[in-house]
Amino acid sequence: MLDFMDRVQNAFYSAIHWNRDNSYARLNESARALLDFPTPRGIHLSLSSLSSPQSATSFSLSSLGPISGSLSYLYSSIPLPVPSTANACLQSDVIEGYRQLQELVPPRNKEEAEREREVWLGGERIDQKEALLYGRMYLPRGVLEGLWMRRVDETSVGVVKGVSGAGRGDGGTLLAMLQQDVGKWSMEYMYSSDVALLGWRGLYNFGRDPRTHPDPPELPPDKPVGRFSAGAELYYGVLNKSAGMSTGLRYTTLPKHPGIPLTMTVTLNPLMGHISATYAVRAGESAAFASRFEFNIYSYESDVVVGCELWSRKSPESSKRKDLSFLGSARLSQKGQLGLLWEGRIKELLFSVGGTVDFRETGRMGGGRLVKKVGLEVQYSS
Amino acid sequence: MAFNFNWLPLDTSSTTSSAFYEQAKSLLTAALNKSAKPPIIVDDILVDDLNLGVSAPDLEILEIGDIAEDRFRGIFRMNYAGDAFLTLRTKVQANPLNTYLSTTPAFTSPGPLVANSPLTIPVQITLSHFKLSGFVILVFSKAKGITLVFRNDPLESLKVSSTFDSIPFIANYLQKEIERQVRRIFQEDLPVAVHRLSLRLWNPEYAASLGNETTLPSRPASPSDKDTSEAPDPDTDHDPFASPSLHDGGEDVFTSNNVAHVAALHEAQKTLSLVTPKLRDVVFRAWACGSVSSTQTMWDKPALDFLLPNSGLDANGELPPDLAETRSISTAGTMTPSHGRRPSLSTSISSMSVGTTGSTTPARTPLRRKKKHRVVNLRKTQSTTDVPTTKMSDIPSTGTSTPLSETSESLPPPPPPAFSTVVNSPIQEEEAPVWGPDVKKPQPQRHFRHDSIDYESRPRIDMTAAERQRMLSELGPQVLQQAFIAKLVHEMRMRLKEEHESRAPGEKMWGVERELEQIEGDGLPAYGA
Repeated sequence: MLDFMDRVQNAFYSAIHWNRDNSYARLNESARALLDFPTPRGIHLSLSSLSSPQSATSFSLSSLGPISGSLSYLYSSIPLPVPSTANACLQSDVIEGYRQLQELVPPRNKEEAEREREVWLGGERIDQKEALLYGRMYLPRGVLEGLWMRRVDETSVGVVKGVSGAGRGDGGTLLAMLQQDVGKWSMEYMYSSDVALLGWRGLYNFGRDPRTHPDPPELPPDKPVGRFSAGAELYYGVLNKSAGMSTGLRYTTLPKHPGIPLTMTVTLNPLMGHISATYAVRAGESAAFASRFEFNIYSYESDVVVGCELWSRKSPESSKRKDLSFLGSARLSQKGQLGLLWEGRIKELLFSVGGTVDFRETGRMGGGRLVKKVGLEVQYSS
Repeated sequence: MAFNFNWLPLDTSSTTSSAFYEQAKSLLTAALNKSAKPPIIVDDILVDDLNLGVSAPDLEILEIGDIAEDRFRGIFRMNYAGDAFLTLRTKVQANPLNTYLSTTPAFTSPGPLVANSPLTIPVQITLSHFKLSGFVILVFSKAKGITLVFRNDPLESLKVSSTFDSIPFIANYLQKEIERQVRRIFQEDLPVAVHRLSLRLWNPEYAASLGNETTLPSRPASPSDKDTSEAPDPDTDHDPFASPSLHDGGEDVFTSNNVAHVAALHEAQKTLSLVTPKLRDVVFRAWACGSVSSTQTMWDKPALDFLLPNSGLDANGELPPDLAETRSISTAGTMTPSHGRRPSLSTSISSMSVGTTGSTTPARTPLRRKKKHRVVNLRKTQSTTDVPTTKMSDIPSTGTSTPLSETSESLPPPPPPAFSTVVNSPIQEEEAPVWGPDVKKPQPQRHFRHDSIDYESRPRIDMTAAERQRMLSELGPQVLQQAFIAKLVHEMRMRLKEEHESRAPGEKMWGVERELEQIEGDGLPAYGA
């Protein structure tokens, strides 16, 4: 279940017309949402409020170990339409499931965007580029997280994230990212102060260039409509001399696809010899399935994970999306790990109950437990 | 003195060694996995092979600070160039990005797609060809176990071979890192481990009270852990430090007869019976009142030094021949030394006997000892000062007035006859047990003249050889008798100590002992924890 602050950030992304899916980091997002969904641990309560269209606060309590909590504030320079928990649409806003990718759109015209943005007061422009400020303080530990996001120009967004070092005594970490997206391709450059980590991510979409052909081509109705994308990422840590890289390929069907929506990806890490392939489908409106196969050519370790997500319609006649109620999602891996999650809404509260069970954990020297994680999360926002 | 290492049981060919190695391996494995491992190690650390080699370390004694039956302190120089080795097996994470990202907060993680996918590699590391040379300070105390500290960094060289030997970069890194860790283990973890192991072997109650932490330290250890923990225990099999119990039969310490006598005496304190068993050839703690001297070391306690045959051992381990030295204790400074061999001691004692009726201070100084008033004078007094207190010097002060006149005559010139004369006098039967379960209050009314006994302090180690030789030649065969008596006395002390330990920790049976503890603090071996 998406946290309130995550929902606000998603609303900010859509308000500034930023396509989050066009990034290599989200190449296999559909499969990951269906297979790697996080289950709550312990009891987690969160109370949030969109105090004004441009600011939001949230307070959370969790029973993980001793009672711990966090307090977060968010400010955005543009109004954000974030629905409350009573009105949020589970399927699109709250629960991340199969992610249907849309056709590429060209980046906004610069002059148009400026004209929309400009605010005059006393003969001067006082508007600024869209920005978002977010801070979160974890109370018992005294750790502070901060995020500053700002549109740099029509195709770029800069993000600076930081975590204070109170808990770890090393002075904190700062991550600076510059994301560039022109539709046909996108790149991200990042720098982390922890080990002076330099990173680069790139994604290239095969097919038409939305800057030259803004409208999607008309195809016969029974032809598959999809998009191939390829990407790569490179990381290099200057201080600890660590490097990492990976490449990936994705095929996803677009909304006009006649058959069921599906997404296939294959990723490769040549340094570690790791290959993984995923396949995710949405079978109608009520179910989505995904599977992943991983293999390591050096250590011959392999794993197969399958997951599913089920919805049910309250009344068969109604076709409104809001009437879908979430039944649950489950995943099972060949290593004997089972994850279960059930989310829903009671009155105005959003809750999620879930756990992780490991059937093969017993026998290790550390003494594994059968039920690794179980928890309940309750969310309320106004 | 020599150290005899019995290294043969550790030879892998014998059957006893396999059991030892199995236990050592499981102990080491448990210790290595007890604490949190660094994130680069993804699996448990298992000990594949452990062998202590066939050669023992060479120990050369540099200095012995203190030696007794139940304590020992010494400085050694240790050299080891044997063929012990240790093999560890575990799995490490080969993706440094994975290790890095697992330790940093997720909020600032760059969020790689699969660049941080894990790759676990099994690795086997063998530590061998240990070369150790260094100075080690060893302190052994029966109650507190063994403490072993290295004065310098003992590790000279160490060979690390692993499955990564074909990659020189990793092999060099492993060699440097493991050498660093082993040096740290020697300096920091090894003393703790040896201490706990020794406690577990010899003093399980104390070890249990430490919280059941009886395993080795948590860092990757080396076979030298076992090396040096075995090294200072040359007598693991035959343990002369075992407490001689009454059921022991007294194989090498006491005859059962004497032990039974002492037991009977001890029991007599607990009944209302007026009959007290007589003991021949004994000395009592009370006789040693004021038997202190300025040359005493910190290990000697007032009025107990004659009960500490160990503290009086000279370098050859023999008892001082003047155990039977008698020293008269007077009230106001008149001192009649039995023989003028040590006039300085007498004068110092006299000066001390004057000022001990004051309050006792808990701080001890090696020079001045407060005279402890240990007995209650319940008799109808015939002396000048008649203060029924629990002060120790009362009896001497009151008693010496009358028999002082007879002291000089009755005082036998050479020590041995005087000792036996005094000792053979019967012990008062109506003695009220007022302090200590097995020590008697002296009765100056009878022939028993404790005050006529002069106790010279033990010849310390710093005594000149000439003096020692003189004493030995003068006393001749009486040394044996003194040794026997001293051992008896030692046995009584042990009984007292056991009595203390069996009692509740806070409860003190006699007020005198409370005061004694106050003065002596925690340095008193008999009462030491």
